Amino acid sequence: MRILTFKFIRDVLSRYYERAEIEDVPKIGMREFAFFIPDLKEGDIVERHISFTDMEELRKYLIDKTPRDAYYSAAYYLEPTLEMDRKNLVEADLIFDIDADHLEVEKEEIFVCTRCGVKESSGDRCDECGGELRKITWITPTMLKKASEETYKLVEILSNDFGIPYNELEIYFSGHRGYHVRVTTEWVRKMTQPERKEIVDYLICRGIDVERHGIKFRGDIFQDPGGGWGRRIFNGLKRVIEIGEYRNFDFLSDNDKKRIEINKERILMEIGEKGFSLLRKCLDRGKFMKIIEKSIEVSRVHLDPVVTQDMHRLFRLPGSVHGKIGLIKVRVKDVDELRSFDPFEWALLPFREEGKFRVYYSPRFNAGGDTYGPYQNEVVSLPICVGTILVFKGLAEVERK
Amino acid sequence: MNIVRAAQYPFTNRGALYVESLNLTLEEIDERYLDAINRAYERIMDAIKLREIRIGPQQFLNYETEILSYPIAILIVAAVGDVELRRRYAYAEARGASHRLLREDISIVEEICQDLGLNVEIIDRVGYELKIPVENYLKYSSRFYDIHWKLVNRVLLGGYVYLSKRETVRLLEEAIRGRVFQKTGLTVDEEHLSPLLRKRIQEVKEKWSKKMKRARVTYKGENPPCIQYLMKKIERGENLSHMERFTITTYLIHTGRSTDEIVEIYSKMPDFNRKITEYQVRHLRGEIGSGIVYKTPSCNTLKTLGICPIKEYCKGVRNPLHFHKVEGKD
Repeated sequence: MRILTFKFIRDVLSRYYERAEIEDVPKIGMREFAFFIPDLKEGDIVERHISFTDMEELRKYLIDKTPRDAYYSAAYYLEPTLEMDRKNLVEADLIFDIDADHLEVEKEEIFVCTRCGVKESSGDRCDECGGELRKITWITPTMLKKASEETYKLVEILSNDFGIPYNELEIYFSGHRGYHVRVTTEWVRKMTQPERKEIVDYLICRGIDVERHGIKFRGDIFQDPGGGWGRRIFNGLKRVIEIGEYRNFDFLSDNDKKRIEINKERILMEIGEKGFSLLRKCLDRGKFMKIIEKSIEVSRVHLDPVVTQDMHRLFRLPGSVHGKIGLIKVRVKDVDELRSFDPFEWALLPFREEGKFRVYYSPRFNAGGDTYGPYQNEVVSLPICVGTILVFKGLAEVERK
Repeated sequence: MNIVRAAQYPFTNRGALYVESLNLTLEEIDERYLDAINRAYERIMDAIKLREIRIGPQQFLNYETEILSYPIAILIVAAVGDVELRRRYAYAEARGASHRLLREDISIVEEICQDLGLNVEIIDRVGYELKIPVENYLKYSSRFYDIHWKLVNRVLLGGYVYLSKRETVRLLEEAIRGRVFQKTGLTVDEEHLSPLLRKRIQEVKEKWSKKMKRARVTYKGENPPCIQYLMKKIERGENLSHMERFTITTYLIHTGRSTDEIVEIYSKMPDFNRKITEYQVRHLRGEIGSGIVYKTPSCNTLKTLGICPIKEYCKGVRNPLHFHKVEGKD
């Protein structure tokens, strides 16, 4: 990194934190903070086990040290500054992490030469000049849409099944490729690790036994499950039949599909009322169970189980900048806003004035209502908030004016 | 809750309230309360011999003695101070109560639940009789092993888990066990006790240590299939995965093998390094590092990891360490 770029990063962060409205950290004195501080020689320096008495102290730190990333503990500690096993954990917020990187969705990976800026599809070295290639994952609207769908499912289950009111569910755009959801309800904070694991298992459907929900291939014992996974699998199954998703299942033969097609209306009616003896008649046991599995797959939440189970996790500070892309971790008001949320509109740094950047490579993308790129090894004039994205992604350096 | 009912469920707050109202000091529990002391002794003997504390019609008639006998029994168990006895006693109290509760009307189950902090509500819904807040449910069910109790296999709606009466009583049993166990953890200064009570404590101590001597588990005979399988792998000099090593080492530690013996077993491994092996074994023993004595993973975990070599479960075994206790029972 050039000195100019390094200075630019520090300047942007410091100017941002001077005017940023960082939302209050609940019980700030009991939280452990951690930061990545940019350093020209060492790359980033980690600062951990830090504690603040109030928001003002935190704000001063942010302006002064300009951390590239800022986190605080989900846990409330008696001694947040001591080493891990002496911190004395009291309780912890329940946090969920949904990252498009872990979802089954097409990703746009770019290999860019750090010397000449040529974009390669793969490989270790640049074909043109032999320079080192850097792998960069670009966020695409499809990735974000998938992540927001998962977040929507999560919020729905937490609210309907666990009875957590919507206003106690805090949704955040993570600042990069996904969403964070935090629950601070009192009984939730008091939960132990095994209890948290049970909640995770519930959300991701780990250890489910469908027969316990009245879904059996043989026998007609049917009982409306009313709630929980039984109901959800039922609805998932209905959806699979209704919108014709079963036609894409390669484990079904053409005959199977035809049989379902002919009886579609009756199958749907039956699922709604008393079960699925008709569907069972159309398929053999293996295929029937596979369809059930598929409907579980579409209904379960694809989240990172480790984050939620681990009470000692760090949570990115809301309102802070994400060091990998230079977007802000912002609060998403509710599930409705989630549907239309566009980070390249809502999570941009508040600097619209233009600056000059040498861009190695950039795909075409939309930000702040305008379209940029594609660029390849050229000097362009961009709004600072857009240029920052490319600089933080490692796709551009700052150019002298 | 009336006083006769409190006598049947003396661990409730109602029971405690009654005892409090008597305003007794420790010294005062002497010959004047001979019946209650004798009944307390009987309670503990029931726990040791029958693993369940039974209450007959005779005890209903003497409900005052009955109620008082419970805190006295707690006092004696606490004074003996053996954690195994505490566990046994708590288990027996819970089990006895659970048997009585199953015969009770659902409203009584609700009442006892609420007394113990389980905020259940009676509901009218096919297949379910009660609902319980999910936080109460998780507190006790996360200790259960059966897949039936996993939250994902329950009906969960609006923050409540739907249960049958039997299931509610099972959760309640767990709550009772926890409460009784906790109560027996207090430290008792015997100097403040009457000679009669001290005599009873001595008797329980003797009875219990005799029982323990007889019951001491000896790890003889065959190892469970998973351990045999891993041992064979070691003998053949095959490499073991991290979890396989963890399993066998913790197993050997808990069946009483010394560090040297265990290190010797590993000496056949291709990548054997005495110093490292010794360090790791001592770590798992809790002698160094975090101080945690690591347990052998459960059969369930071993199945998930593909270490368990058999299809079914060994009968009545949840953890390889249970194998001897069950299979070797005479």
